[in-house]
Amino acid sequence: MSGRPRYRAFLRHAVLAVLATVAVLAAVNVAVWHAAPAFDLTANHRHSVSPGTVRALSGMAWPMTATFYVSRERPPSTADLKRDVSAKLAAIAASVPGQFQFAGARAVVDVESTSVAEGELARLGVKPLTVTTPNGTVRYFAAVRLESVGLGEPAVVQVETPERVEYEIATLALKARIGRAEPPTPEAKLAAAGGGLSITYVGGSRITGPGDDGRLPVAWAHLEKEAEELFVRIRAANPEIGARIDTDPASPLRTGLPINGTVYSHFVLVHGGRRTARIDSVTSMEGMFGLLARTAWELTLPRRKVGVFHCGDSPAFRPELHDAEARRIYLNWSPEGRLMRMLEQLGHEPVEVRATAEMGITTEIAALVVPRPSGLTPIEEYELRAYMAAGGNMLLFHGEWHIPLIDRALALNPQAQIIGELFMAGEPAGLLQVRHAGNTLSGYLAGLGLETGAGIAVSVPESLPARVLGPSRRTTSLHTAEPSLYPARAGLVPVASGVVPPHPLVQDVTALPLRGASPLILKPERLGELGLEVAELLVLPPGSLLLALDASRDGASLQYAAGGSGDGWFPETLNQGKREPEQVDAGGLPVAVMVRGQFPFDVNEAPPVDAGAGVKLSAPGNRFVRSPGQLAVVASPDALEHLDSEGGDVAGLPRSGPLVGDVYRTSEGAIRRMVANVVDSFVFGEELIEVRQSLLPTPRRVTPWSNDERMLWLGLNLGLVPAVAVLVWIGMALRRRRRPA
Amino acid sequence: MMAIFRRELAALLGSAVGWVLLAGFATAMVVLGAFVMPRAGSGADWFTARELTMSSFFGAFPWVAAVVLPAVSMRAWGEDFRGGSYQLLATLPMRTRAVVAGKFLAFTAFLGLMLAGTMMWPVMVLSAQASAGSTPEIGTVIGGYAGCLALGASFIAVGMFIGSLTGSQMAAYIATLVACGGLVAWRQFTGVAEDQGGTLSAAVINYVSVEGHFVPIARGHFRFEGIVWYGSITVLALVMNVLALDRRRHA
Repeated sequence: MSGRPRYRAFLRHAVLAVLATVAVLAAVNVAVWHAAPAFDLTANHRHSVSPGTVRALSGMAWPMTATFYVSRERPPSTADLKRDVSAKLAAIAASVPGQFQFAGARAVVDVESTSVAEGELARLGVKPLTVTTPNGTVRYFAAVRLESVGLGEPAVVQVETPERVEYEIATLALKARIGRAEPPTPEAKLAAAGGGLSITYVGGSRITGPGDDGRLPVAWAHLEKEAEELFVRIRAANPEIGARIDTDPASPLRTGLPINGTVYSHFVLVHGGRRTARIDSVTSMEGMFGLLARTAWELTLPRRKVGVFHCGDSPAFRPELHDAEARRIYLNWSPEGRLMRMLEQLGHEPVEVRATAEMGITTEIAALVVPRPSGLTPIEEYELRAYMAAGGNMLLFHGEWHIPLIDRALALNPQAQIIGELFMAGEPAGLLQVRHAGNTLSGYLAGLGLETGAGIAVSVPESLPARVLGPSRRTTSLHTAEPSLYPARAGLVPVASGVVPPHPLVQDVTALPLRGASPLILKPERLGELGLEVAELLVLPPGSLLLALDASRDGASLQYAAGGSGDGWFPETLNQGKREPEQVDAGGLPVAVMVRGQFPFDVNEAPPVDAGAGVKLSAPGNRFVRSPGQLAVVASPDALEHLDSEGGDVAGLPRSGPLVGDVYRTSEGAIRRMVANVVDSFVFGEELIEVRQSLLPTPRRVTPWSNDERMLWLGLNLGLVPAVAVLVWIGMALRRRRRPA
Repeated sequence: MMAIFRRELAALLGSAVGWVLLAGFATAMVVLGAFVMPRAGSGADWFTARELTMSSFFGAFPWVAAVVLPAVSMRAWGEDFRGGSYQLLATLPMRTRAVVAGKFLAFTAFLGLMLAGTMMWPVMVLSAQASAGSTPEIGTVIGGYAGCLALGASFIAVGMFIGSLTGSQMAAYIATLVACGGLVAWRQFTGVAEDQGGTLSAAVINYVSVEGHFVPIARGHFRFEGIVWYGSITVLALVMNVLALDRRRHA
């Protein structure tokens, strides 16, 4: 064989070999792409189905079915969306067989060309998404429709990522589990109502006026007899409720009025001490068993409303905002306003809660967030205490001192390079605007064993030049409002960190900026006496300073004098002329705690008299039903304050959905996660927190890197290998030189 | 094959270029992983963002590898062709594929050494995770390094194949840099394909991108399709490398 034919044969062989290799590899790739085998190597298995999701779905009374609607034409960034979301839904279905069914992904035809398909999708509640790409705006569909008897109406979840879909499904499952389906019979409804419910029967009255009706005593006796028969049925259906039937004809609530010779009765149902329902003008017990059972069942349904407490003193805050426009902005962006919007974004039903003689805090409120209580009236305090004792769940931002302007008050030298130059030359002393908050819940908390420390914690910044360029000085390029992201520029805002090991409620809270935080002093003996369990959520990290205030607490401000050197660089004198300052290392002191148990309340304590309205309410007495509650205290009344001294918003509300990991790096994100975790755990239980945390990127360092740590890190990483390389190379060169030629 | 493996590895470690590459690779990974990649993502460097993950580190690898590894693989055949030692290799009683496999394994082992030079980073991240009260993400680190090895090996195979087509080391370096850089940056073309050919072509182009497969691996989601794709590039490039060398014999 000559060379050329042999070369041709080789070429033929080579082409065939390449083609065969390509074919085999393509087949393997297609097969693997379809099978999509994957390992979740993360420590918390965030790419797998969360155990919290499994528990939430397992607890549903009815199975859930998911259908994925997705456009064929999608933006480039969503090329794998159909496969990934389908895989996630299939994985969820495999994790809870029978409880969750994946009906498959339905390809949606091009929305631009077929309006029929779009109309059908609109009927199903599936809305289009739009994404702006360099090539223009792309409109497409990607949504999961979830159906379940427990959900009532089908829910549609817009798809962004597989993790988000899982979170939404778990949330819906938990909500569906809470919103229980109605039992079919009155007996079942009463049985499902559980305990904690009391029924008071208020007998009717008769008119003794002109034309005395002789039939009334007969009707009265008949109604009483029917009522007794009714009570027997109730006791049989639910002995716990049956034991709490109170027949009280002499009750002050007796309001039945006989009209035209008719006898009326009333039923008053009370759950959790304060949640009440009335059935008035009962003339016959016919059908009453069913009505009572349904009322009792509805009354005991878990509550979903989340209240934001507006104390009477709220509008008086921020008196320094003289400008009308600033005041208008403040109404919108006050902590109360922010909380209302935040809770709505988190999928709750926010309710503005006020406590007056006419309007108390009802136990329909599943969770109550109380920002900066100050100037509380006796009625407000009474209502808050009663709410807690009746099984309330409260997140309280509490403190003795308001420092809304702590990041603006100190005039600092932006050019400072050394500590001695920190304060402005013309301003050797300044004013840290601090306002003492009177009539807070300090007394109540002290009675529980939670005393508020007298002091204000301020942070010790890591870097002096960075610190002086903090929010206290607005510069065009370096101003930042994100203490978490730029801790060294945070001025005097302290940042609390989680405890070790982290509490589940703050596991994903990186660093919570707390303005004017005061440490909490726990009194174990008192807590023990009351049988309250306490857990620390957040502590001040090492390095913070605790500046003790003057014991008189009558000052409206803290005065400081600049100067000092070494470690004493911070304001040397506070409340000048009254007392020498104390600078204490506050590291490790708790600034946020969670207390659980039965909160104390005297059932015979009459509500305070409302001087303005002249109303005197009676004590709840035996009708008050105690129930264990939960109280989260964050010792920073201004944690939710976000306005600077000019009324400008220093941390805009992020456009984030319920998965609050979206803004996890910002201070706003830390606060949102804290609020979201606590409120969600109150309303839905801690499963939701587990799901959320398992889907968030982890982990993050709580305290910022110090300069020394940075240098060590970079030195080891950048210097070690080159140094070793140089040494080895020198060694080899020397060895070669010693070798005989 | 083992003789070839030892010879190539010794040559790399015995030359100044090898040690410069080791040091340069570690430095580039740290600079890109700590400062460049995090800033591109969140606007803050790795220290400021305080995320105790190696996502940015692993995210930097495809780009660093596309620049550094061609400098390793360009040595595969260039010196043999230029110095005439290839003729000696060709006459040895061993198959071409054994020669190719020996060199490939040597360069991959060298890549392993380069990656080992960056081990200080994961050690510090894991210890920081532990001290922050988190469970150390050891699985993510191991998976990420396995992904680096697989991706790097595919770049080396591509570089060896390109090197077998030319006698010039510089030409081999530039061509490999363009090819590997193209594979990494390939994803940027996805939008163009969407406009022209629809989602299927976009999905294909997305799949071809080596960076697209690397992102989930860097985040601890170890998808086999990425490893299979890197393996496919490696196998195809090695097969073509063998055929290219055999063509020289037959020509």
